Amino acid sequence: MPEPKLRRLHIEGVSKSFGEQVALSDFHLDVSGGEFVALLGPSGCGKSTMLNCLAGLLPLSAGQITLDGRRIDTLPAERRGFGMVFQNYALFPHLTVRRNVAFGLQVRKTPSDQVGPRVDRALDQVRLTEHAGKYPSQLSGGQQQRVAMARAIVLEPPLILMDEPLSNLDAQLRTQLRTELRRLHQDLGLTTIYVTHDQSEALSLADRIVILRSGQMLQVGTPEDVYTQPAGAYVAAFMGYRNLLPAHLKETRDGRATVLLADGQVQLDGVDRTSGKDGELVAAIRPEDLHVGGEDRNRIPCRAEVVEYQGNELVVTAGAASGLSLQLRTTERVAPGDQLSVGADAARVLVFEAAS
Amino acid sequence: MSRAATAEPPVPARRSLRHRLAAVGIDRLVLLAIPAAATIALLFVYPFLYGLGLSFQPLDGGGALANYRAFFNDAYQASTIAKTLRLALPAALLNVAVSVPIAHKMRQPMRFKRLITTALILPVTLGTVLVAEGLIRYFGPNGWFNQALLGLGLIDSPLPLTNNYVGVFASLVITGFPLALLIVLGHASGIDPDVEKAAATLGASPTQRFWKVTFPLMLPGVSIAFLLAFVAAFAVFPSAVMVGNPSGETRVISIAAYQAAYEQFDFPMASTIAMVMAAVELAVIAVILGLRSRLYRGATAGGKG
Repeated sequence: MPEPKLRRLHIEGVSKSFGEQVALSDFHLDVSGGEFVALLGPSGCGKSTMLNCLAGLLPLSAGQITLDGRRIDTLPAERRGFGMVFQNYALFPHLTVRRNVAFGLQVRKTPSDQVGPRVDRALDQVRLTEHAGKYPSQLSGGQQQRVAMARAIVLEPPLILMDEPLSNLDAQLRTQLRTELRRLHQDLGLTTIYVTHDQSEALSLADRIVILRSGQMLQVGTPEDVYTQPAGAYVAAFMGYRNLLPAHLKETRDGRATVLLADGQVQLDGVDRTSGKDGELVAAIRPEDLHVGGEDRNRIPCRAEVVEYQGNELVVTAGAASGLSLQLRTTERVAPGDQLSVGADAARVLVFEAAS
Repeated sequence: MSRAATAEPPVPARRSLRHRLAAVGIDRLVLLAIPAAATIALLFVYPFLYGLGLSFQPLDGGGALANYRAFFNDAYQASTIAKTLRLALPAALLNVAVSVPIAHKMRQPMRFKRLITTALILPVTLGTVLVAEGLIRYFGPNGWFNQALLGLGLIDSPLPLTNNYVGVFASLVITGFPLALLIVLGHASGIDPDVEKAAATLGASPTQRFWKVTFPLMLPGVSIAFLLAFVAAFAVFPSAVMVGNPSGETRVISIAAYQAAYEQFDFPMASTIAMVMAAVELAVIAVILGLRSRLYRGATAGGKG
């Protein structure tokens, strides 16, 4: 992997308000060279605001950003020298692919004998050489986004910012381009900050994930950290814990929590992730961790309501006592109306405070 | 053998007339266009062809082209073309040139945007006569403007701002500007703001962003605005009489046509002048559209979904 152009990006206490509304508050992050960081959260969580603040397209309300010790948050976008890829591509519709890619080099007064070879190389890196003479409107969405990437990487920027670059593409193209993005990142050693609302995109691409909600940072960690050790119920829900079952605490002992569900009719053991304060709890369980049948403890009696065939498995929505609804994946034969007994390993049940 | 033959699909019958018409986009809906087409034919095409025919029938004989020859050989008449162009081209250019920076500014978020736009567009409702009247009251020798300057002792005699080229030019700018702005504004607001943001992140300064991205994308709209402003200005008549010098420097081509028709009652000659007027306008339109066809004219937003 080539040497990254940046050693350390330091974001300290960045906040952004629009009038009364706080879009982002007290954002801290250190990014080292060559790292791929994903900002993950639903729309309105502040992730795009952070990216625009980094790009220089939005002024900060507070905080500072330094790049290898040089303060950059007061520079206008055109003097930061970052590459940015937009969700809607934002290509120049009146310029050919080649001239789109050359644009940044030309406005930076790069010697003209260098422009041609560098544009060729960038187009080759995104495999668009044969489309160089076309206009953006003559290309498919995936090709347009690759032009946008070439336009950003041709400048060999210290930092690349990507704002949901794959969300306008169809599912198949998205996974294809995702692999290509990862390959580009590895080949070029580009330090990348990537905004997305798609957890699988963040998990597969990023070295580190920052999870945001309403402008607050909830968790920062490697994909494995956030996937297996979610910091709270909200992050857990984002990471595939579809079942967040309202619960009351019975007892905690040695990191284990025993909770009661459905007005005390069901008792469940899980991993204690509470901070020890009183309040509403939830038991978080992934659909794939709920098993049908068996005799071990931690059982919830329920009745299959909706069964969706997925080829290799079934997705079952089941109702339990007191209106509790469960979702599970199983390879067993289940039909709507069947009485089931589903269980989960206590190590796979996480107990959180409901508001976390 | 025979069984194989029957298994083949039957040769499709010749398509019915209705299907063939539908394939080229003609169905019963097309009938709905007849009233509009008839109206245009009746109100525009017929009078135009009638005038064209009339222009080839000079009152004094001398062949079909006698009127055209007379017009172009008489410097007093022929010079009206240059006089009109001298008013209409700069006025249209100024209207568009002022509209472009305003429209560019209006693309950014700003306070009172709607109020400012309304104030700028509102003069479109004023008639040319009303504007000319206002110009006389304000810029005339006894108008407020000159009286104020005289009162302040800045000038010794009133500035000649009406009854000349300046007066007509001012009236063309006042009446033509809202129209030009409306068109440029409508076109500019369709340009995706992310395109300029992308240019900024690529290192383009605000000036470079305007000249390399925004302006090229605005040009197709700008050229249409220029054309409409020009055509409106080229037909100038009331203000050329009221705030101009209709026997001298602002004797525009429509005045020549009017005089032929209603002072000399030479309708064929008036028709000839009207035809010359149309030809000049069409020539300018052809040049501008020719230049425009070399521009990028596609979508101004970044890519499809």
